[in-house]
Amino acid sequence: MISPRYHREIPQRYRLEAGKCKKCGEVSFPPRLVCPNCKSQEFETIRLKEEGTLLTYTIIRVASDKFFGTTPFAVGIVELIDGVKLTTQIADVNFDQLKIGQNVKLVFRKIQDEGKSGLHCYGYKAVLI
Amino acid sequence: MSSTLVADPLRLLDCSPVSDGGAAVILCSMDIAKKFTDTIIKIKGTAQASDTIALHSRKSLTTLNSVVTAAQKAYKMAGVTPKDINFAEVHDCFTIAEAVVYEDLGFCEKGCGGPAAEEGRTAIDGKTPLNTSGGLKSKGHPVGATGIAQIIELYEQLTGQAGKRQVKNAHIGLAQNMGGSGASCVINILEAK
Repeated sequence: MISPRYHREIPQRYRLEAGKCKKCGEVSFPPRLVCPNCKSQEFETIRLKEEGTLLTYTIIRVASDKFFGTTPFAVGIVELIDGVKLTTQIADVNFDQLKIGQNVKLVFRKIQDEGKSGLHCYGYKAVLI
Repeated sequence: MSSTLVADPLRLLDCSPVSDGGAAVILCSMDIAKKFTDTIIKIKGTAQASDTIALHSRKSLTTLNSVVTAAQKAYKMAGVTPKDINFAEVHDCFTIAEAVVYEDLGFCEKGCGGPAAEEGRTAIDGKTPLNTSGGLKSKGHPVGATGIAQIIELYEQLTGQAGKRQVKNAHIGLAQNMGGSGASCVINILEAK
């Protein structure tokens, strides 16, 4: 991830800001310019609730360069109670505890250090509740 | 089955090696082709379809909608059904991809892709031989060249030049290529002339 992109994505990564279509109510996360359901371009910004359910997961044993040295870590697909689905790391977990269907919540965490200068990039990760 | 875990349950040998490689075909009208060669194969059906890039945005994690849609379009254009396909090259970037694609191409019911391989239905003398070239996992995956390499395997099979890999009665072959975990898929159905 490059710095300008990281900066632009702060509202969604720090505060879970999503776009709710004013016409059909479809919630897009990350926010979109056009509603994938009804093609409307009018949205209101809403903040997603942090709680959700784990739909599936894996344990990454060999990671891409950006996450070198942080393996193994768990990654899963979470469905939030607002109906939005997202892919996220699952933190603070003993891998043996992971089960599909578990209740999770999103928390604010450091995701990675960027580039040689080591800029800290923050965002959300899931933890078991 | 005992190689290093990469991402559970996929192990190193479940993953195709991204490699160097090149492939090329000559594409032209039948009239022009006849001037160059007698070993011609014909495009019977060709189709493309797309899906969301994010896996979490898809309704199902065990169906690749781009494959289902592209297959339906290609079968319709070719005027054939999955039963008419004698053999296929599929994008087995990972072990699970071959099983899911085999199902989504309509060669068997959902959930039977794994057992089909286990029971030998995808073997060279099986009902629908898959990836006689070795596929991405055994041949290598030179990303940009992979799709054309599939077409070359179809050409060799359809013209009886596949040697020890030759499928008996190879008249109609299918090549299924995809990118972005099925965010886009291209299917070609080729026929011996």
